[in-house]
Amino acid sequence: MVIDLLGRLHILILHLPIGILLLYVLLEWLNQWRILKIDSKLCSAVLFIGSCSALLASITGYVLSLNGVYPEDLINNHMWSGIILTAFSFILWYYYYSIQGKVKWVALIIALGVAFTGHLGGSLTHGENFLFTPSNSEEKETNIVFNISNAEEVDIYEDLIQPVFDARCVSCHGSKKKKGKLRLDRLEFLIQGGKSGKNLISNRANNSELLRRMDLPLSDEKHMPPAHKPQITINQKSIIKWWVYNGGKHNSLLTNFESTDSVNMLIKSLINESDEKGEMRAKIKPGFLPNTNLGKADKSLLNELASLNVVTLNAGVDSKLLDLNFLNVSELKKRHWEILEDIAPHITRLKLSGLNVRDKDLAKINLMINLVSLYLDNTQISNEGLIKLQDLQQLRYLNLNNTNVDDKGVQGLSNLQNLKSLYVFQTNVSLDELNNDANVIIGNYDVPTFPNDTIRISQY
Amino acid sequence: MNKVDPQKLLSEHLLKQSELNTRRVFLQKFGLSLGTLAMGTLLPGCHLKSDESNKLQRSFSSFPDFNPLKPQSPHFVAQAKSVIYLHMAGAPSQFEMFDYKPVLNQLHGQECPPSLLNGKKFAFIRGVPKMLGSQAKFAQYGESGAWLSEHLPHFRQVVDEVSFIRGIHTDQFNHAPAQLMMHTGSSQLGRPSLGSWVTYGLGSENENLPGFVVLTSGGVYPDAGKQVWGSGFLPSVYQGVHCRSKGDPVLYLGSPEGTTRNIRRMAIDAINDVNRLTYEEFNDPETVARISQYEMAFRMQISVPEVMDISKEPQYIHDMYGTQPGNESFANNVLLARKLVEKGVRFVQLYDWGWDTHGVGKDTALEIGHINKCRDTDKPIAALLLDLKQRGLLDETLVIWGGEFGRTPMQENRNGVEQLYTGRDHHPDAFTMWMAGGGIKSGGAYGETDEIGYNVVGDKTSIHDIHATILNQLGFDHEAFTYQFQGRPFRLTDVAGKLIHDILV
Repeated sequence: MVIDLLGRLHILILHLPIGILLLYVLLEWLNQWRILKIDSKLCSAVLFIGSCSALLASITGYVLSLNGVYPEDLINNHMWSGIILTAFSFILWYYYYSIQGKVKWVALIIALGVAFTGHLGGSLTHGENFLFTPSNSEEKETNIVFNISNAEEVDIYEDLIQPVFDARCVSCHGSKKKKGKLRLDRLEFLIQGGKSGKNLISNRANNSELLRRMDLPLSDEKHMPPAHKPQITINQKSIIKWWVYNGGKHNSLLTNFESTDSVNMLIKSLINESDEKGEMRAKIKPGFLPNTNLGKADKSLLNELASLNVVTLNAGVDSKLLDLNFLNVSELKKRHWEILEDIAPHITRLKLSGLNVRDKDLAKINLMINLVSLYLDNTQISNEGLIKLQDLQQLRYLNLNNTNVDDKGVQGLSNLQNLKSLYVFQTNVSLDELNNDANVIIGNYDVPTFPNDTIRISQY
Repeated sequence: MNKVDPQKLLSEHLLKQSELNTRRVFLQKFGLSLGTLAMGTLLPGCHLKSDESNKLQRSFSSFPDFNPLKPQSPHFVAQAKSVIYLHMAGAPSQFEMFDYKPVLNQLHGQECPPSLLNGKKFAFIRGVPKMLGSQAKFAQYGESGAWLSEHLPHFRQVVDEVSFIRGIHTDQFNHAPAQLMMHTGSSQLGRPSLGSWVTYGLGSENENLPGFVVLTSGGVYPDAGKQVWGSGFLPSVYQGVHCRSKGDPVLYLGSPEGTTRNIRRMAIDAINDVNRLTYEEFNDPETVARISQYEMAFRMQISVPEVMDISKEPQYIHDMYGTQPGNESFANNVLLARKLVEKGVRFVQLYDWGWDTHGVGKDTALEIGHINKCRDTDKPIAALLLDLKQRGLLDETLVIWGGEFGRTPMQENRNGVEQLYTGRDHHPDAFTMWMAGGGIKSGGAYGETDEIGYNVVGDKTSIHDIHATILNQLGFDHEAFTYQFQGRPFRLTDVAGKLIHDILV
């Protein structure tokens, strides 16, 4: 008990030599640069106190290493560098006055030693690449993916439970770190148990420490996984419970159990959860935008366009593509077209419904290579203009309602590979499909009036 | 009016003046102002600041150029540009429309087992009710094979355009709170409605029309009152504008007799100048709302009568929708909704009252009133979807149909007495809605109820999920779409809401 406590004090005490020895180095150099005038007696005293704290840290550290939580090879490096640093600082203190001239360089070695030992220690507790991993990558909740081809032949432990342990537990309870002397990377270790108890999945299921820890409220400090780590989902917990209650054995093919519907459904939803690889749970689902590496469109042109009554918006707040709606414009002017030509590649949606668009103007629209939706309904365009629309390879939606186009004209649009819907209500078009599989919507729908439609019943 | 004695007025004025100088008044006001100062820090939401974390937080500091209805970009590229929300107020019965339950028909007339009643609260059912089979014949239609009731003969034509959501639940079983829940995301008063949020986020594309228009039919307003299109804590410029299809489209919009447009313009300019001064003094966003409402009203005097006039629509349109100009009817409202969306209105909210089929009288009987309601709405809805489609508007218009909750699979027995007509009580645990257009899958379905349609067994959907999905289609991340009020950012979906991916294209 006391030994344990002593060991754990290492985590506290280790900060003393770091601070005090570095303070010594700092004092030494401040003195050297004559920034401060510091009595060498003071330096020597600080160095001595630092050495003593390093000694204390080494002793407690050694005691801590005895509990065997940490992998041995990593511990050895940390331990020996700590011991050497302690010894070195004592030696320096002993010969402090006799090497006065070179002491600033020796002090640097102390600083490097502190950094090196500290880094090794940090790697032990926080994982080896702690220093260089981006801060959010560790805590990021990744969806657990189960590799299951046939839901009926699933091995509950191998296919469903161990992957959960691997993803959620093994980083602390595995071959490298064995917190609480517990490993969860193989079933044998589960049975072996850890400090809080042996046989985590004892056949008396009520006693299972594994289940108890998972069921504790999140606020309880004994809850596992710890509150700040990604948690085990309810479905995952339920399948672990079911497996423990049914003996918690290695060989746990579903076919070996008398499975009920609820278990089958549980397994199905577990697989579903993982199947979509998180995509199904995405928070947002934006519409389609072409990939471009365009810069921003000229702000002054956009402002001018807006002042000409055009609703000028970015396709999304951060998008560089533009959504332009001319519904407040009563007549297209020359200046409109000039600006449109200048910002042509940025336009992804353009609504010119009911305006004075003529065939010759379509050549300018053909410059808008990122156009996805184009409204030219109720305009004066005809077949002659449509020929000019050849480069709109992103175009998916084209509205030509109530224009002077016909089958011959729209067939020319077959080159637009991505075109999905072509609206030709109130035109002379009679096709239902183009060669590029675009859907041609002629409309003219009829909703016939049935005799019952206008009758109000008052009696059954 | 009585003649006023100037002497008396003067002495009253002097008395009021001297009151201001008394110690009592000083202490009162002093205390109040100290309190108000403290309050200002307690309620930071009342003092609007542009919030760095929220790009959509509108800044009111840039007045006087600022127009609160200026069009704005959503968070990301939207699939839907406008919404037509058809709310059937009173809660239509899913069992006589979209949720086919053959097992329930077999159980018809049997007593409801206690397991279904334990721990449940009903609005009117008392004691042990009897199970009530569907009062309609069902058959499958369309390529999607969706089951439809015989009362919806026209809907067959458009059934492949929509996605059904059959497993919706709410937590309210009375109309008013449930309607509030449905339209504001909270069963309590004070939250902005869906349409207000959308207008706040996107503004109004058409400079002459409001961004959020409300149309009502059925003779009665929704039980929750005008709160369901209110702006809650958002500036009131974002509240729905209630238009009527009969008489003046907007009440009190017309100019008084003998007033010309010019005089009106001058009057509004004068009022707005005063309002601007008030804004400079107090910085209250409501003042901006007031100014832009005057401006909007002035422009609406011309634009609204024009867009709200359906008499000039061609005959084939009237035949299609079953509209009769001059009436207040659901059909007329549906046609208006299409016209408004065509003109760039973002959110058109329809309320049709009369779906509360308890079976206590003819009008609320499933075999009479309900069928009449279906006949009122079936043809216009089919016409709306097809008309939007042929005009190329359905791709970018999200159409939503639904009530505020569902109905019980049991026959209502108000006060424990058997009723003359068949009817069903309120039921919040399972009901059906559908959505179409605006990036919604055609012929899709999501969610499933048990054999008697009493509980959801798969893919349970909450009202917040519906809201999250609607906002997503309009280009908003519902978790980042907030408004700072009373010291914290508020969301339409509060702390919940998941996208219903299965019905999205």
